[in-house]
Order: sequence, then structure tokens, then C-alpha cells
Amino acid sequence: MQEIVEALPTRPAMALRGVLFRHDAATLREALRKMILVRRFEESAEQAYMRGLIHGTMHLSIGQEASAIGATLPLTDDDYITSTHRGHGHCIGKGADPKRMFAEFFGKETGYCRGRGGSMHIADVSRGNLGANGIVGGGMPIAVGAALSIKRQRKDSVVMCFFGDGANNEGAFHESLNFASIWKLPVIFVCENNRYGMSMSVERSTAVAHIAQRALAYDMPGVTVDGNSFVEVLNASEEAVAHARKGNGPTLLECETYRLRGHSKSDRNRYRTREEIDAWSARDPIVRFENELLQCGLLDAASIATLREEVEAQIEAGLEFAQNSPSPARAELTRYVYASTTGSEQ
Amino acid sequence: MPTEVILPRVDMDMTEGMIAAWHVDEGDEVREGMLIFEIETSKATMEIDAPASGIIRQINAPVGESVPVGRAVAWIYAAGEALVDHRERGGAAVAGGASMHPEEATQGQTQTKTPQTYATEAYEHAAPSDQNPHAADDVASTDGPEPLRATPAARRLAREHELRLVEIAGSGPHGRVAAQDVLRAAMLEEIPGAASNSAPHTRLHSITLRKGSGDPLVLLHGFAAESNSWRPFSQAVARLGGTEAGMLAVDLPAHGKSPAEAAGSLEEMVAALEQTLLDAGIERCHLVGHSFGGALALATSAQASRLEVRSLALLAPAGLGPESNGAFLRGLTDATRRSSLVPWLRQLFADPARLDEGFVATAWQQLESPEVRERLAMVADTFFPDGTQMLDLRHLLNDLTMPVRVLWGQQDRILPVRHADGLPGHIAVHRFTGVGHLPYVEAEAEVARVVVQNMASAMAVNTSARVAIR
Amino acid sequence: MTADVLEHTHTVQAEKTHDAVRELTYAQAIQEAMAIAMERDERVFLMGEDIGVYGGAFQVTGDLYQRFGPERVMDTPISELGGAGVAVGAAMTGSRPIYEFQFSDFATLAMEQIVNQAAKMRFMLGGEASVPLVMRFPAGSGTGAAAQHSQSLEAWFAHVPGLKVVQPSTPHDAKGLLLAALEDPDPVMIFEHKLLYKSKGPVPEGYYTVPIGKAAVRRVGRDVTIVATSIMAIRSLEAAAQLEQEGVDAEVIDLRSIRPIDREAIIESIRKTSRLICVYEGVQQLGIGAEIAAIACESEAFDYLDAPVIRLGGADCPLPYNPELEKAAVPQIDDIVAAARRIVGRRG
Repeated sequence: MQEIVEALPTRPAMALRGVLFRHDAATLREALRKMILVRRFEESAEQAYMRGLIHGTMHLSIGQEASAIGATLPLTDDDYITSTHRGHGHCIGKGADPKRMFAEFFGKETGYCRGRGGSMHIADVSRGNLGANGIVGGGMPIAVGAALSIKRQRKDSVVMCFFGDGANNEGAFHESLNFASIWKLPVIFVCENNRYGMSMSVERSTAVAHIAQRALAYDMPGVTVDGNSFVEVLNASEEAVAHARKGNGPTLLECETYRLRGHSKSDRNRYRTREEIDAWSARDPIVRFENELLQCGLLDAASIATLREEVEAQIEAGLEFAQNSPSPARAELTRYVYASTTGSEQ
Repeated sequence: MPTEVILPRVDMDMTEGMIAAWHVDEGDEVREGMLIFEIETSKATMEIDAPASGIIRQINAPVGESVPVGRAVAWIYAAGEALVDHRERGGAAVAGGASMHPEEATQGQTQTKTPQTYATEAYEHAAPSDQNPHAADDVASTDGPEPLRATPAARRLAREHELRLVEIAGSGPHGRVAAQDVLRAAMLEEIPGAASNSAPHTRLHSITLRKGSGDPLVLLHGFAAESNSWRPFSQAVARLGGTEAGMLAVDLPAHGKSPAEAAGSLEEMVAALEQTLLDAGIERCHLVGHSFGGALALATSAQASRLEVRSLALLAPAGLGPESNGAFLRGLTDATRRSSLVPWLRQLFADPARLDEGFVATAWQQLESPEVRERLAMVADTFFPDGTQMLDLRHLLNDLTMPVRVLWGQQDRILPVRHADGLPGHIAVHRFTGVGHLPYVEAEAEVARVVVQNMASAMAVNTSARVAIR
Repeated sequence: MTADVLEHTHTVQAEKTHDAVRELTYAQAIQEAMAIAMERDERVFLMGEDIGVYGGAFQVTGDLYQRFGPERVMDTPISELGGAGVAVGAAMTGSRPIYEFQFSDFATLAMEQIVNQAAKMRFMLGGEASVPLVMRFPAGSGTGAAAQHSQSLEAWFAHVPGLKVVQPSTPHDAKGLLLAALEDPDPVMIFEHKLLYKSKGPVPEGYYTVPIGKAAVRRVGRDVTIVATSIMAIRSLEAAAQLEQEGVDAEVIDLRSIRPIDREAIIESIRKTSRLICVYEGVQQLGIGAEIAAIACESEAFDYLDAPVIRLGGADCPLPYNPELEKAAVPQIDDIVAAARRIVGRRG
């Protein structure tokens, strides 16, 4: 277990209740449900994959649920997100339907991308999800562009841009933060620092101890929180979102978390120790949030159990839907390349 | 590689030029910058210098011959360099693939100028070229025949016209058959054989009097005669030994064994003659024409587009004046018996005693048939109505550039010898005393000699020799 | 440089039937297009380096900043990857940005956003998104800008499904194609040859578009088809004028659109002339000429080819600085004339 160098203040634990009681029980229940849904979704996808039902690979965010759900809670359908290859949690946080996500994993016509995108490109543009992106840092300038549109259209929407610790060394990260800052755009840059790019640890790859420190270089607020604390993430997210909605520009929010699974399904986990993985498992964000809710009397064990059952049912229904859905027709291979084909067909 | 010596453009609107004088001979050593020939232009004579030093060879533009601008008139070789075959194939060939682009000459080894690189490979010349690195690849292996090369367009046209590509000569590099080759073949295919009746592609009957080599001598008989009448003359030519050329006598339309079609106008006759010769594989020849055949020979020399006439000898030709012996013509075509023919035949000779039985017999053989006489009467009516020559071909003589000689008997009673007066200065006129309308009979040996000399003069200018006209 | 370009087939769709036609430079025509677009549609805005007060490196934006203000004419930092991505994101969310790259060579810095994002977004998302983004690129050599500021990279992008690539050669087309690009819901890249910015030509007032995907037959001919792009279309016309004096009647096709490419125009012309020359500034190997030649070979035009295809493209080296070498590195009028003579089988 590593020492976390205190570079920036984090929320003290006693404010936890304050944050929780800002929201009604239904909202918090829904938040927990989503976290459980993400977990179960990821685990089910993993199972399907291991049974050979899924083509390609996938990038699981098991262990990062608090970050995804906590950050996206303050968003509405009018707000946008851009996500990463490890973005299933963000998609569910933004309201995606697991059955259509499963369908996309199975390459079916009923998937969010009609089977053309797969796990790494899940999107739901009509509800503000501009898509997961397969290029590390690829979604960052796009998020800034969406924020530019919002500003030009004089709306008070915001864009939440998810990325990982790996992205923070891409040129696109720096260019995006710079653009957002000079033009004071409503973007919340949420870095899910799960300590590893693929096999490279953040200590070896990044010149600063906390990614949020880089906010200083771009003259925007930078905050580091415990990414496995739903409450901390939520609190920081709400503040950043409010900041942006008021027209005060971007924030860089770093959620320190951990992925319990390897980078992808082919990861042999040679770059980290069993002990490290176990230690972080003990900090499971879902267990933690459940306990906090129980402690504050906002939920009881029975409702949590019901919740879990609901999630199971939804997962099962989703898998069945996906398996029974049709695959795209071969004749439609080039159908979505262009929105309009002018002149000669290629 | 040899340096091309082209006929350069010296005036802005110049498309062709004439070499007025060569200052060097075949095989001479030349220095870059020295005067090698002069061009005659509409403005003034232009002196042309050697573009390189070396030995000048393959001079192929004779003095007085019109040459298109840019055509190579000679090549300059380095000492000891092997001769390259520059024979043109349909205009697509360039020596060794060199283009006229000025920058190419300086770019030499470097391949930076890619616009040229890919293009020249496709346009390689078929002749073995030492400087083309791909030449070895392109020459077919010595085992087995060269594969047929034809452009897609040529293949399509061959399919459409139901022609076999292998039978068509290709004008492109490596003998590649191009569309124009197929179209030409198709046109030839469409021309009917001797049995067909469709003018203007009538094929005329001809007799090969002697097989030979090089450009043949083609003999055209006169009115009411036919090709056999040339036999003695052709033997006289052979006896002289001054030429190896083959000899071919062609029956004019409506004469001898030729069809009656194409006798309606001189143009038709020229076309028929041209086609007949081309069909026989003759593209260049020497022409000798007698009387009416002389008019045809003259017209052909001036107007044939696909035939090159190397030299022309006109024996008492029609077409140089309005007078002719109309009575004679009527007498020939009216004579219903031998006895009424003979007096007219005597008119052909200066010395009537020269008319022998053999001659009469031959003539009567043709004119015996009323149909023949009727046909001939029609020809006479077309070209010599009322004894007046309708053909006016004098002006055609002006533009002829091949060697031309006019031979006439002073005692010609059919076409007056004075028609030989006032001809352009470059045409030699030979007048024979004691000779009538048949110089090739009455002065057989002399006429043969003149004809052979005329043929030789055409050949001589081609191969070299400085011809200095000062 | 351009002199009179005779447009045998140009489509001029003027909103008003009596739009005046006057002479503008290529740069002015582009500026006019952008001004008209911004007046008509508030979603349209410009991004690029030094396009504001400076007026653009090639003075294309000119005084648009003064006329439309900093919210419509936005100077960006030197940040092509970020800037292109911002343009992509903006286009996905209801804006219509026109992104001006200062030199086409700098597209390399933005390849990720152009090729991985803009080109593929619609497809990856199963048709749920579109990226109506216009990118403009000053391209080509001849100004002594040397290797990193003189390239013609359009063939790279024409190789990417999801992008559209055009190259206007005249002021008329520069305006019309830009307006067409703005109407197009897909990402369109416009490569403008630097040497053409000062060229002049007739440009109608008002709004009109030139269709993307249609070539223009600039000169009708019988003997050889010359398919050319951008400034090479202009040079081909000059070459054709020279060739006419020699009795070679060249047909000049200005491709205008590299992707999608007007196959029909190429095929139809070859059927008539049987000979094809491709002229383009991009490096000859694997450039647009390869595609044009392939179209000739794989279509019904094949049966009409009567000579090997000639490609005239850029030399196989980076663009040099020395002016003579710079000229030698790309096709010039003389090269086109020489190629035409060769292909019709004449010398000299």
C-alpha cells in the first residue's frame, strides 16, 4: 500500500452526512442501484466473455463504481459526457440501458451503435453521451468542443469529460485543458486515476504526484478525492458542475481509485502484486457506500437486498435481449459511413 | 546513344521544311557547331549546325524533300558506336525512348524527375536500346515466340470486326497492336476482291513482268492497249541490268482484264490504281505511264495519299494540252474488222513499216469484241470527247518533288510533241527524232535507259551524296 | 497565373436568378463564402491560428474578424490536435465550425482527431452522430516554404472512409465548394493550393454551391483525357492551349472532388479519347493518379484504352527549397505537353 502524498485538501469525513442529507433517499437509493448495476454488469460481461460469447476484448471498471456514479449524479440529459474505453460505468451513470449495452457487446443491431462500435465506443448521443473513445485522450478535445457549442448556444449545460491517469500525459490532455481555460468553457475534467495506464504505474509515468496539480498549469481549480468514496466524489462533482454552470469555467477533478481487474481481458497482471489488489478490494466502494447509507439510516438492509434482486433481474433480461437480437446485415456494411452520399458512390 | 539531328522549327508557324543543301556526307566526322545542312524556308535559307560531335550517319532527308519539323534527318554517333535501327513504326517510335523534353537531356542518371520515369518505360522503343535499363526485360526470351501485345481498344475493335489480332501488324512499341492498326485492317477487309463491282475500291488486273527487290516499277499502258504491250520493253529494261526492281504492268479500268468500273473519272482511276498496288503490298514504286496511262501516272504521283511514287517517267502523256487525234480514237473504237483497224495503228508509228503482224494481232485481240469497243468508246467520250483532251494536268507537274522525265517522239501523230514545251524547269524532257506515239517501241533501248537512269536518280538521293545546289 | 479558365460545365446555382458575376481572387471568394455562411447561419463560426486581427496567414479571413467579432472568428493557440478535436466536438453538438489549418502539413498534428474521431464517429456510433465539420488547408509548393510547409497530402485523407476531400481550382469553385461543404453533414476537408490564392476568376454574388463529387470538364477534346486536380487543372489547360497549336486536342477534366471521386466523368472521357494522363501535385507514388488509373482499368473504360496511362505527380522527395528544384519536383506545363505528345504518338 502506498503513501498518498497530501498535496491538496480532501473533504474531511465529518462532512459526509452533510453531503448525504443534501439529497433525498430516493436519489441515493438510485445511486446505489446504479453502482450495483455497474458492478453486476461488468461481472456479467466478464462471464459472457470468458464463455466466448463476446468478440474482441473489454476493459472492466470493477472497483471504480463510486467514481463513475458519483461524478455523473449531478448531470441531466441536457449535459454531455465523453468517456473512455473503460467507460461502461459512465454510460450507466448517464442513463444508458444495460440491455442495449449488452446488445452492443454482442455486436447486435439493437446495440447502441448497431453493433458497429463495440465495447469501446458505446454512446447515446440523444441523451448527451457523446461516446466512449478508443483513443486515450481522444474524447478530451471533443468534450471541450461540446462545451464550446453550449457556450455559443447560451445554455447552462455542462460537459463531463472522463479520462484516466494514462491520458494525462497525452498532448490532447494539455491542449484540451488549455482551450477550456482560455475560453472559460463549462467542462469538468474527471480523471479516474486508477494508478496504472496499462502496465505503467502513474508514479513512473507522470511528473507530478497528483494529476490535479496540473490544473495549476491551466489556471483552473484542481481537486483530488478518494475515488472509492461515493460521497467525496459526489461532493466534488457537484461543486465543479455548479462552477461550470455559472459560467466560471472548467475544473480538473481527480478521483483516486483502483481497478480490481486487469487492463483488459488479456492482462496478466504482472505489473502489480496480489497484495495490492487485495488491499484495494478491502476498500470496495459499493460496500463502503452501503455501510454509509445504513449508518445514516437512509436505507435498510431489506431495501438493499431488493435493490440487488432488481439489478439481477435487469441483468438477466438484458443478456437475454442481447442474445436474441439480430446481427447487422452484411449488405449494410458501408451504410453509416456518411450521413449523405453526394456525387458518385465510393 | 546517338544524337538525333532533327529538322528544327526555325519559324514560328513552321510545320515542315525542305533541306536545301547538305554540307556533309554519310559517314563524315562532324564537330559540334559546324554547319551540316541548310533549310529552305519561306523567308530565307537557314544554316543548321551539328548538335554534337561524332560521325554523322543515316542521313535520310534528301535535298528538296519536305520533312516535318522535329523529324530526325540524321544521327550523330560516337566513334565505334553501333548503329541503332530507328525505323519508324506508325509514328510512335523514338530512338531509345528519349523524349523531346529539354530537361530530360540534362537529368541523366538521377531519377528525381518522376513525371518522366514511369512514362518512358511504357513508351520504350522496340529496337534494342543500350541505354534503357529495362531493355533486357522487354526483349522476349529466346525460347518461344513473343506474346501478342495489343491495347484494350485494339482488342475490342478486333472482336467487333471479327478480326484476328495475330494477323494484324502492330504500330506500337514492341509491335503492340493499337486501335488504328485494327481499323486499318478492318477497312482493308471491307474492300472487296477483284470480283467485286463497287467502285472506288475496284481492284485492277495486273501482270508481274519480273520479280525483283526494292521498290518496283509499275507500267501503265495507253488507251486501247493493255499490259502485255509492255513485255518487250520490260525485257529491254532487264537486259540493261541497271536495276533489280520488280516490274508490274497494270490494266487500266475498262482495259485488258480490269473491270469496267472506276473508269468514270480520273480520281476513280487513281483510287483504283492506288488500292490495287497497296493490296499487292506496294507502298512505294516507280511509275511509267504511256499516253492515257501517262495521265493516270501523273495524277497518281500528285494525288495518291498512301502510295509514294519514287520516280515518274511519262511517255507521250495525255493531259498536257487540249489537242488529241480524235479521228484516231474514233477509228480505233469503230473498227469492226482487222483491216479497218490497221490504217489507224499505222498512225502510231513514225515509220509505218514498224507496224508488224504481232502488234496488229495483239491489238485486234482486244478490239475484236464489240463490248470492249463500246467500253473504250465510253472512256474516249469521257476523257477525249470530240478529240479534245478533257484532262488538264499540267499544273500537277509543278509540285512534284520526285525525279520526273517526259519522253516524246517528235513524229507523234496522236498527241502532239509540243505538249512537252513549257514544262517546269525541274522536269527533264527527252524528244526522240524518228519516233511516233510509241517511244517505248520505236526507241526501246533508249527509253529503257532513260527510265532506269530516272529510277536510279531517285534512289541515289535517298542514301547520301551531297547534292549541292549553289 | 490562371488567366481565363473556360468553364464548359460549371453549375452555378444562384439564389437570385440575376446574380451579378464579377472577378474575385480565390482568397476573396473563400472569404465571401464564409461571410455569407456566417450571415445566414449563426451556427457557423471560424477557428484557426491568426485568423482574427491578423487576417489569416494567407489573408483569407481578412476583415471577417472586424465584421463578425471574436465569437465568430476565433483565434486558437498553436494547438492543432486540440483545436481540431474542439471543432469535432462542437460539430457533434449543433455547431458548424470551419477550422483553418495554417498549412496542410499541420494536418499531421491533428491526424488523431481527423482520422480516428471525425471520420469514424458516425460509423462507430451506428449512425447516431454526425460530424458536420469543415476543415480548410492551404497546400502545395511553389512559395519556397520548403519540405514541411509545402506538401499535398490530400491522398492520405482520400484513403479514409468517412471523410470528404475536395480541391477547388478556381475562385468560383472555391466559394461554391465551401458553401457545399457547410451544407454537408459529414466532415469535409478542403485543400486550397497556395499559389491559387491570388488567381482571379468570375464569381457570382450571393449563395450557390458546387456539388461535391462532381468533376468539371474544363476543355472538351478528342485526342487525350487529362484528369487533373487543383493547380494542375490550371496548368493542364495551359498545356492544352499549347497542344492545340500542334494539332493535339486535349480534354481537361478538373476532378474537384477527390473523395468521393467522379468515376463517370473519367470513364466517359476515356471512352471518347482512349488515352489518359493524370496530373496531380501529391507524390506520384500511391497518389490520386493511382486511383484514377485504376478506375480506367477496372471499369468499362478499359476496353477503350489505346495507350498506357501516364501519371504525372510529385517527385519522390520532400519539397526542396531551391526554386529550380522546387519547380522540378512537381509537374509543370511542359511536362504535361510532353506527356500528351508522347501518348498520342508524336515526337517533338
